[in-house]
Amino acid sequence: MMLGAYLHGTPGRLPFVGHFRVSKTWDALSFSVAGSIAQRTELSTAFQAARNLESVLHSLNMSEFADRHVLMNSVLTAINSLDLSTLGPDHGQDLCLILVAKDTAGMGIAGLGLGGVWSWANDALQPLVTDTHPLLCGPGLQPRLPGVLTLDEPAHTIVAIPHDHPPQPPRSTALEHLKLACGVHR
Amino acid sequence: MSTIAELDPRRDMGLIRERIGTALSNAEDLRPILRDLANRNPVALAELVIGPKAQTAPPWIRAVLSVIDVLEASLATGGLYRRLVALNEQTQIEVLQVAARRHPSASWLIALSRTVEGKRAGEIHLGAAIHHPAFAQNCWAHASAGHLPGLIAIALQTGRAEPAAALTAHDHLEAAGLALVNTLTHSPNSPVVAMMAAAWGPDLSPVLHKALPKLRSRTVAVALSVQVNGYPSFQTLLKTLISAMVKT
Repeated sequence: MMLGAYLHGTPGRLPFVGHFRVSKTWDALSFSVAGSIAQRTELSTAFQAARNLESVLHSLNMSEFADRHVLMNSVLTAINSLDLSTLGPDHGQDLCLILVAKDTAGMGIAGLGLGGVWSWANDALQPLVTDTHPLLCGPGLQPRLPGVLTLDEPAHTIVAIPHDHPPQPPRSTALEHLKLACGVHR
Repeated sequence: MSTIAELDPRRDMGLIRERIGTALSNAEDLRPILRDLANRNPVALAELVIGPKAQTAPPWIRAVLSVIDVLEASLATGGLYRRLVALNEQTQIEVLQVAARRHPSASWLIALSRTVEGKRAGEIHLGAAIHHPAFAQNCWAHASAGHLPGLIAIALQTGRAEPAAALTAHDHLEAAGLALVNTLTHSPNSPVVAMMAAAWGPDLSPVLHKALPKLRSRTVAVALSVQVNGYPSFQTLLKTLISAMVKT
């Protein structure tokens, strides 16, 4: 089953301003990242910043990474390698993302600017962390991942809400609806 | 001075109706009568306009529109315009135009547009609300009601990004593809792709592919190409298409 990280949209007519999403798999190694950037700026700027992030993440050569730890750090390194002016007027300081990576030994979850993280299991959302967990840190690009949550049993679908989202779990009761609320249509 | 000046609206409604009928037969200007009634007894005016014995002739309805402000003050607006629309098919568009101009954010205009414009529902309403803050809200409401041709037409007339974004948000992907092309035909720099992605989600490829068969102009195709540089596989496909298109 494909690994999926999903960032819930914000309330309103345009829930996915500056949203980006990339998933890649190579052999037993895979990652999925979903996030938002430059959400409070002009639409075109946010859109281009999101595409810039997707572009650099798509360019990662998965065969170079020994395990999920190296992979997760490389994702952040790749984002940091971007000219920060291409990430909008805040230069990446408004970046929110959920990053999940998996190898044969387990699964790791990291985040920036998140208000809550759940896994989808048995047709319901299960909370993965409490309010004080370092995974729920403030937004903004950092030189290193602020914390990684390790799961021994892989969860294929991980859903997060941004830090400025109302702090309730997403309401969706079906996976398809949940994906749509995260701007994913297939 | 109107021909009903000496009549009492509370007592002489029958006579007033007769005078109005005569004025209609003689093709006289009805506006002085209506203004007189509006000044003296707005309730009687409302009864004449929406009551069961209301006149239905187009000149009467056109004259009624000249005192619409008074009628709106004494009647529920949505019901008033629905009644005026129902009175005569010939004047429906004029009534809808007035309603859209005066109440661009009213939700009842969605159903009224369907009644009057049929398949083109939304064109008059959205056309009247282009510069109103409720324009986006109206696009979403018309998309939700399935008024696809109206939104597609407005995209071509205005170059605004909202019609295509609203269609995308409501999963009308074929229509969204056409609205996208129409938007860029009018305004090549409209941030339409960015707004569609903001409404639907980051992977816009399924919607973009719907636009491809609708592209007729190389100029529009180039405008689209500039906006989709974040979707490399689609852009490659589009560039192939552009290279095969005739320069005009």
